[in-house]
Amino acid sequence: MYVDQSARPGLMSRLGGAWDRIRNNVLVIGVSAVLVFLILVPVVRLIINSFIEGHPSVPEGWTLNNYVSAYSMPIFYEALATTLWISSIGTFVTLAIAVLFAWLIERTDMPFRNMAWVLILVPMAIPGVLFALGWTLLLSPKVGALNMLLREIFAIVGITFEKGPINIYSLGGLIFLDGVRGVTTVFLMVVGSFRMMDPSLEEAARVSKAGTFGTFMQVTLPAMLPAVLAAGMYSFISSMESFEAPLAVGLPGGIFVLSTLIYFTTRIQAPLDYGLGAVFGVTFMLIMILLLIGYRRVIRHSEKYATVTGKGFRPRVTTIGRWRWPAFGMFVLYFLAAVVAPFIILAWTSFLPGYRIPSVSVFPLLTWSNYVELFETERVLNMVWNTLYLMLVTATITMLFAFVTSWGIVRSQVRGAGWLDTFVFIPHAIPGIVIALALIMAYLSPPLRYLGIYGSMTILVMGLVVSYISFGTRLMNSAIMQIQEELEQAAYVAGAGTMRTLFTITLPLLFPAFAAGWIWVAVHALRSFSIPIMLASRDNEVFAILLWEYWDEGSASLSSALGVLMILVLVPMTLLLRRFITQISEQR
Amino acid sequence: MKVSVRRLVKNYDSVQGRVVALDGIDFDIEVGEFYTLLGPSGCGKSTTLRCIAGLEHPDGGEIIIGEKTVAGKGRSLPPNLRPIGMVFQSYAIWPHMTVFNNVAFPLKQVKSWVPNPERTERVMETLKLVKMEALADRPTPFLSGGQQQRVALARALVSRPEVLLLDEPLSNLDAKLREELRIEIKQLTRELGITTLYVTHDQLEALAMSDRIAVMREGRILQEGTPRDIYLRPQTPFVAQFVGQVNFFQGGVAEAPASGMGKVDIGAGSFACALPQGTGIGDRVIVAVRPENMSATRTRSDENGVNVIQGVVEQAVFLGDSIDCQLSVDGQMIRAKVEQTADLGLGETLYLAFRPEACTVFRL
Repeated sequence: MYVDQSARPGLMSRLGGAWDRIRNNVLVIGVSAVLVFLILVPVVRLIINSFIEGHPSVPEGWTLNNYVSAYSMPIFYEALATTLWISSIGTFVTLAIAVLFAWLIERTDMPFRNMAWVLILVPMAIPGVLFALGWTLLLSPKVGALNMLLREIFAIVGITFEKGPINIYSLGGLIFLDGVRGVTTVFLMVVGSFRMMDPSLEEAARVSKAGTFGTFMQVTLPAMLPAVLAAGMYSFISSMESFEAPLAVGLPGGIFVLSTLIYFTTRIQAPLDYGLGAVFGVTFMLIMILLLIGYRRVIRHSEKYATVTGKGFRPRVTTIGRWRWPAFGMFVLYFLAAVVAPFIILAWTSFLPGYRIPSVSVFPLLTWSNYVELFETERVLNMVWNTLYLMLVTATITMLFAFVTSWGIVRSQVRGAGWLDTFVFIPHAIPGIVIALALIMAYLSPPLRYLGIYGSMTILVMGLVVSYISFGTRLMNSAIMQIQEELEQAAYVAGAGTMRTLFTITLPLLFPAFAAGWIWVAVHALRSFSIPIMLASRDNEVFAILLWEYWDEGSASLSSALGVLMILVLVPMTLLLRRFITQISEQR
Repeated sequence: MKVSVRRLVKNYDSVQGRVVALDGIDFDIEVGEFYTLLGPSGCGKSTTLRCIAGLEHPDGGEIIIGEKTVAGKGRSLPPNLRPIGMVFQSYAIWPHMTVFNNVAFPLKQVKSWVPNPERTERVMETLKLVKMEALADRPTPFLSGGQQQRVALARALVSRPEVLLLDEPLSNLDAKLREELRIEIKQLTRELGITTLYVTHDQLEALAMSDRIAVMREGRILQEGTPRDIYLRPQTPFVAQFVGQVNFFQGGVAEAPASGMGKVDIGAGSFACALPQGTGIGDRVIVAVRPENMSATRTRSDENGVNVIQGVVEQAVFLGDSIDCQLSVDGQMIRAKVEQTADLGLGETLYLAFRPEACTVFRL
């Protein structure tokens, strides 16, 4: 056996080798270090502060009291139970609607299927908070427009109500909002499986003497099950983290979920209790991490199924006969609830001095004055600049960080790349409200409070970058894996360094994915709600903060006008996103 | 520049544990030489080339290009600082650039910067060299495999590197094109006088192009030599069978005189052949005979000193320039190359004759 002495280099040369590696990967190491700082510091600080008494800026020493008092509060268990209940039922509703539509749109002869495919994406352009506000205007028990209509209809048959009959400020209301809200995402997650499923599997069942129904139950559905299950888990996780509807609808009705409980404890109640908030935050985070581990299990399992291949099949269309129009009717109903009704009532309100029940007699009152007022208020103009800044900076930083980190992960240039991959997935498990709380803790407590970024735009950007980095890296991971490594190696051999190769070869090659990710982050930053609300101060007012402040002060009209403008901005951005996504899928 | 590889070691950590990819590789490529690493897939030839390119970091040993140690003692110079040009198996032509920009890329880097009027000139000159000057402005996705290959070659040569590394560059082309480019690459490298390392699993390529060949297997070099050496004087059965076709006969040494031909008994007969030094009577040996050295006749040749065995035709495949004939000799399948005009019938008995000089004997 050949014994090679130089295979065991001495200490000095080993150090030299390590230095070479570091020098060649400065960019990846630097970006990873910043990310670790951005993610780890707040999380660790949140955990530390849950054991500390007093205001974060003037800590009063270690204690377990926060945990004792948090876990002995009935409202904590109530909020936890409510959160789980709303998320479970809401997810069930979402799944039922989304899977039904995925099947109807992809695999049946429902009328206007292609139009439905486009329309079902529109809800993405409506921020959750506006969706919730729209529905409170429609279904508020006393003055809700839809409730008025229902009362008049019931009056005809002789039943009269003082108020109602529907109260949106209820558990049912929250479940309804949550259920309808999640449909677009789940639809997008499962529709691919319905499209890609090899039709020969179903044909084989038919040839083996199974009927239409038998085929669906015994072959189609089981084959779809992993995808449906994964989408369900994902939807459940999103519902757990949901903040907007619980804030707009739950709080007025006295219904707390975990996210609003944290918000209430650290931003509303007097005196604010950060220690308690930190315990809620830590608990919430742990629950979400457990859920996410479960989610990853489900996904890993679902990847074992090879029924869904990448081949371009012409899906087999099932004829549903006389159910065609009822099916289409269901879709119309969904679209009315998800988009048309809330948007119309917001638009209506935005043209009135204050909210009025829609009727012909109010028409003379219609006015542009709300919009005029918005455009003349300096605060609003300031807000617009801040929001634009937030959007551009967040999207650019997130995607650049994601690109560099993913490159390090996929190409495994740096030791510990697998560890990094897991690490950047953690923020996915942390609800926005907890990220924001953790940032407050980190940058209010010494020593980081001396940086003075609490209450600035910077802290907002940090919060959003952390919450979108998981999405960004996952998108970039798969994009970089598509790029043959030899294309990069050819650049090294041609004399280019790492940095140069990354930006002249790799980035241009995956530009469609990068652009899609950028727009996705931009859209989400634009309409981001929980993080800005938590981190709001005078100097970092963005869209969500002003919208909520107007609403909270009772100025539904100004709030609606602001909301309508936002939707008008978001619609074209969403369409642009769809274009880039199509481009990526065509490339592959 | 001369390239020296010393005791190169490379390990991979895989699921099954540590795999030794390179187990002490040693060779030198002289200035201007066309040197080929030949071996089956997984033998470590590409890993060796990639270590020289700087794309892999060796775990031990040294690589010296010219006077400079580019890898050794745990350190490894990154590829962009080595005086090399390389052509990848997949060509790795950047799809978002035109032909011109692909080739101009190396001249835009710090180490090999060339300012513009001269850069354009150099690029066009190099494209001319590979006969691609007409397609300079074409986007690369619209190129055929052969054209991509030429662009890749131009890109590797444009910065006038000292060493050209070619990693199975012809394996993705069809047979006709492969033959054409084989000759072109050989001519080009000879004209430029560039030191070239070529990696391939195709023995015909290796024989046709190389000044010297190293046959590799399982992370080691088995034999190094000129194409003629490798083909005519293989040192192991593996080399004999990997380079060209060969028939093996196992047998025992029957006569081992101090000088002259010995005799090997293979059961179905006995062969006169030259024995390796130190072979004694009774030693087990393998006698290798290439099919093209066997002549098949219907009647037994009675020429003196010629080895003859008898076989039954099991299969005869007409190849155009010859007939590839498989015969059963004492239960063993033997291949022979027979004249194209021979009219062979299955089951026919033939006599295969070959000269003692055509035999290579390996000791077991």
